[in-house]
Amino acid sequence: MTLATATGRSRRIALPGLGPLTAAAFAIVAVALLVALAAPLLATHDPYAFTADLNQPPGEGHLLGTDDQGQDVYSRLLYGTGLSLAFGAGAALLALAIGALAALLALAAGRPAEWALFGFVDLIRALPGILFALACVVAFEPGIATVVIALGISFSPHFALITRATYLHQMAQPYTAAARVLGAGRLRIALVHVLPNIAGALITQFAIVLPRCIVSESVLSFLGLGVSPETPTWGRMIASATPYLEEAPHAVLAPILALSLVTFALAIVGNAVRRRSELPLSRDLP
Amino acid sequence: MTQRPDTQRPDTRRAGTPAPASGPSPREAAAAPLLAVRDLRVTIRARTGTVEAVAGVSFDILPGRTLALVGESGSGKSMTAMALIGLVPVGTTVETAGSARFGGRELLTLSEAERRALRGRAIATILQDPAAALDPLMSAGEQIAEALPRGLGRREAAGRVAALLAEVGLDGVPGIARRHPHELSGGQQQRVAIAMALAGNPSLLIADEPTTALDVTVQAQILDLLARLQAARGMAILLITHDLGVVGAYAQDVVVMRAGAMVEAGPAARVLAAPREAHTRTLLAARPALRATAAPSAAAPEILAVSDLAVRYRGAGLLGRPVRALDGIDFALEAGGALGVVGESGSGKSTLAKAIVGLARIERGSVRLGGAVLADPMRLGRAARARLQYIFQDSYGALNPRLTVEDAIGEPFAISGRPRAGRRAAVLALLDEVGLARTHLGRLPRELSGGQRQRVCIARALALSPEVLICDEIVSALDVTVQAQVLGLLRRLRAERGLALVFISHDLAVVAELCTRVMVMKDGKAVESGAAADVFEAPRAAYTRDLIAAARALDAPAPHRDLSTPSPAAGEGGGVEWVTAAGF
Amino acid sequence: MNAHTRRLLLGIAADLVRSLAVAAGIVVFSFFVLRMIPGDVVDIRGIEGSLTYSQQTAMRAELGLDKPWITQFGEWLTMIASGDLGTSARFAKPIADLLAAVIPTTLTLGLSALLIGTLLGVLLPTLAMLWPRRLLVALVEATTIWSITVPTFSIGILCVLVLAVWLGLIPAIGNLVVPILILALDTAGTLAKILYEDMKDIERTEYVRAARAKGLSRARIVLRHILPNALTAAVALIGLLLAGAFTGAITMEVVFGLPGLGTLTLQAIKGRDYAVVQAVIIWLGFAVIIANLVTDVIRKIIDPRLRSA
Repeated sequence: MTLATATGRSRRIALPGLGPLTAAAFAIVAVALLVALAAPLLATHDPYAFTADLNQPPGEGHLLGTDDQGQDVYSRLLYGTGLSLAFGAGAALLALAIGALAALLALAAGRPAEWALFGFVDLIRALPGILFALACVVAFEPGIATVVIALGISFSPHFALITRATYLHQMAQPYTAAARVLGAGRLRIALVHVLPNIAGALITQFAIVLPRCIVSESVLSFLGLGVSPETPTWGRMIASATPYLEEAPHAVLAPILALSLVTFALAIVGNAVRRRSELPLSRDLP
Repeated sequence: MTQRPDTQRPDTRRAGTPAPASGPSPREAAAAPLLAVRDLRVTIRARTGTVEAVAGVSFDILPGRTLALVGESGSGKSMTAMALIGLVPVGTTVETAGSARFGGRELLTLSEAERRALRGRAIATILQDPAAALDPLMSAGEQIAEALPRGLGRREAAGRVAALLAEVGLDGVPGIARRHPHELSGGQQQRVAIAMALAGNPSLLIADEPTTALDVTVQAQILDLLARLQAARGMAILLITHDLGVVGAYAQDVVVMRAGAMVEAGPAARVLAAPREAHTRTLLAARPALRATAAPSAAAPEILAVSDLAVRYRGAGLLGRPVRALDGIDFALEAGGALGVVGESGSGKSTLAKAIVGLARIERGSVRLGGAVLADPMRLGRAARARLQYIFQDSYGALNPRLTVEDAIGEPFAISGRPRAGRRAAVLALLDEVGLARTHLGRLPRELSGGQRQRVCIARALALSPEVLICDEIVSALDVTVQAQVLGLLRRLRAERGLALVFISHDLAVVAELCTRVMVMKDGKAVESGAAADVFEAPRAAYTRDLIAAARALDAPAPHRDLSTPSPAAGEGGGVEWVTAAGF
Repeated sequence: MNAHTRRLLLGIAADLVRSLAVAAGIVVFSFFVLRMIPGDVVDIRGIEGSLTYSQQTAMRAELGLDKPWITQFGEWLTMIASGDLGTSARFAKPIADLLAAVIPTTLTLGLSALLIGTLLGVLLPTLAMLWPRRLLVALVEATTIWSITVPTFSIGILCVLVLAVWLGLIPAIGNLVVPILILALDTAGTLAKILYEDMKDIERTEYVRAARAKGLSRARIVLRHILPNALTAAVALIGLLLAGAFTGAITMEVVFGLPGLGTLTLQAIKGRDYAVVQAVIIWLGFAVIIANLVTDVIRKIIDPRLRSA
């Protein structure tokens, strides 16, 4: 008899248990979402309009100054919030859809399909993170869709692996065998029994991957391989302002701080989600 | 062999106090108690509130004697012992009140450092599951050496380790000190754990369900070993167990606990022979006696038969050699009959059950259901599936954690495509049949007790109106009182539905009580089979006799046995068990 | 014992076969994915205006770009197999020379970061387990949060801004110490997070309870029981940490203006210089595969349970 049973079955009540840090993180995410939606209302300038006031410091007229093209940093930052979040979320959703679905179907289909898929997953994983996305972006027309697809594919192994690990774990549980004895088929077991039980793990993984997708998009843009220069994602803003670090540090600082703040908040929120679901992380993907 | 070189021990040990066969109550004993616990209260503080796990327990342990703390799960018996030495699980905060004096020192007010100094030296502990209690990365010898007193030279430490290994009967195993835990059998692991406990020369040994995870014959060997070590070293033992049967054979004093409170305490012989409290009587009555009660009916037609059944498992790794789990099994079961399949772990009894329902691939042989041969149990049609159902040992794992009781029991209907509308009435009828109420409909598996979950599994299997129910160790995880209730349910179902049972169990007494036929299995083969009465009253195979002897030794609510004669199953110093297990 | 060695060798052989298969996959992948790129190196130079149309055709023929891709693949495979990495069409230099010029920087950056990061990543959670006080635990948590949330390239830019532009402590171009520290902290956080969670889990196991029952000191329990068991699981991460360090090195090189593999790759990608990109993908892929292989073998050797699997 274990001590856990000796102490009486103390049922864990899932209290939100919001620490001040988590609460702040939730607030930041909420504000970011609001800003993303209300950008047209909050913006003071046209984010795409060029002016002659190049690299103006923050002050009157331009709340956060202007960049090397004379564009208003504040307005671009607001529009960039929605774009950066949307690209990140799109890539993470795509990774979830590709990774989890392919893995589930391959696992239900049997050994050969499983080997083929996870051979491919091993291949993607052998290419250092962003290099795969780099290759993809180069291979296709650069642009929003390419960036999202490239990131979606390069992050899909995270979901494929967690799907396999949790699927195998669930298939080792007697309840799936019990369903077989009752006459349930493979697809019914995979979709009715296994999927609801691994959904928590997938959501948790999504929460971890989302901020990393946002960062990766900005890294790609920073390296000049992301979206087109005029699109005001944060990464793009950092990239175009970096050469003028000396003249206009504000144009770099603003998007960097926004990026750091939002990814930080998303990561904390993801951690809170994980704690609530009390599920183990995928071990082999830090 | 039993050298005791330690000299700097405090005066807490009374060496070699002879254990009287049936002593007076500890309170009246002349010898000073080694451990005197008075009104011990343990409160567990969790985020969700506080739980009083132990509510006022008092007992004395005399030097050289064994006191058994007995109770079902949740009775607080483990917490009582663990709170004394500060071994509560990491992350739990407990508060203790009352007093516990060990050799004159108050344990409850000690600092963690002071407690640590006691642990492993004056007070040693053996945990329940030896496989989990040994560090998988460290060899047996290193783990024992770690528990030795500090400051020994390398050679001296090695000598002590060898002596300890000999003391626990492992000296015959080649290279034992260098082996890692996964290279040892369950019995060997527990012997290593005992050697670890002895390394500090304890005067009190806390044994927390030391044999629950082991096979019957090994259980008897381990308990005999503990009894012999106790006699040789004069240590006191605090034996924590759920099994009143063990108490009669191995303890002088007993404390019966329930829900954190003390129910009854006294000399083991008195408590077992004339229990004063109702709960003690219930516990005693719930244990079936090892006596065959039913005979197979000759008139009934055959419902399930297997002939020459064999199963091979793929070996571990890429080129691992396949392992034969089942070899040439034959049996025939009459409609409404009950076949008990008994054997120890690794005997293949569970594989047999899985092969019949198609959860393991059959290599050779055939399964006949109602006279017709099943082509391949792994690809059974729905009609045949419905006739043959299977219930798992682990009722928690066998239920999808996200499905309510209603959905779980209704699953067979959903698979066969029965409309949702008609399902509830059928589910309610099944719930009623297994003794659950309508209020359980919306519950999730984790909101049910073990017994209730096993009833849900039975109801789910019954939904298809099977003719044969295969029960794979379905009561072994349950407390005795709950076990008795589930067995009663199975008996009733047999009578009311004419259900035939294949009942897989390691527990001979349970099989004897329920089954008409018995098959004894070992190493994938049937050692003996026949009518229950014949097998239990006049066993032909030596292995069957060993099993029965071990079961009887472990279930002796009789006065304390003489320690000098090991139980028949124990063999010489535990030599029996490692010969079969040393396949490395 | 002999059976053990045989099983160990069999397991290693299986790992080797798998690694070779993935390596072959990388080679094929790197060829075909880059052939899907619209426009080749000659086009780019045409656009740049450095070549006339006839020069372009001649250059294509010279580089074999006018042949069917299956022939190109065959020729390329033969070339790669002979150890020749080919010639950069853009820089008109053997790729081996180009790589030799930049690899020391990247290697210094990536490996130093990996080394310092691994040391810190093991040390911090171990200290936090040994002395579970608020400060040390908070330090572990801060490092992990830092590494999850703060993109290394943005920290890099901030460091350039503050340390180089504003304070003038380091040169804006060519500093190696700051990027190493930034990457090391990132690696440390990733490792510390996993290791600390593992150690917390292992602390709850029965064998740690048994070690407590033996009266062992906290230090001995952490160093002899918890840490080795956690490390056997964490060793599997080394391959990924290596990949992460090199990825990070690419951006760090761009931020700190270091002439490394990352800068070269970026130039090659922008210039459609297939051969260079291929070589980089193949060699980085091989590095990760080898790192993974080595960690698998190490795990099999240190964990007695895995030897039989």
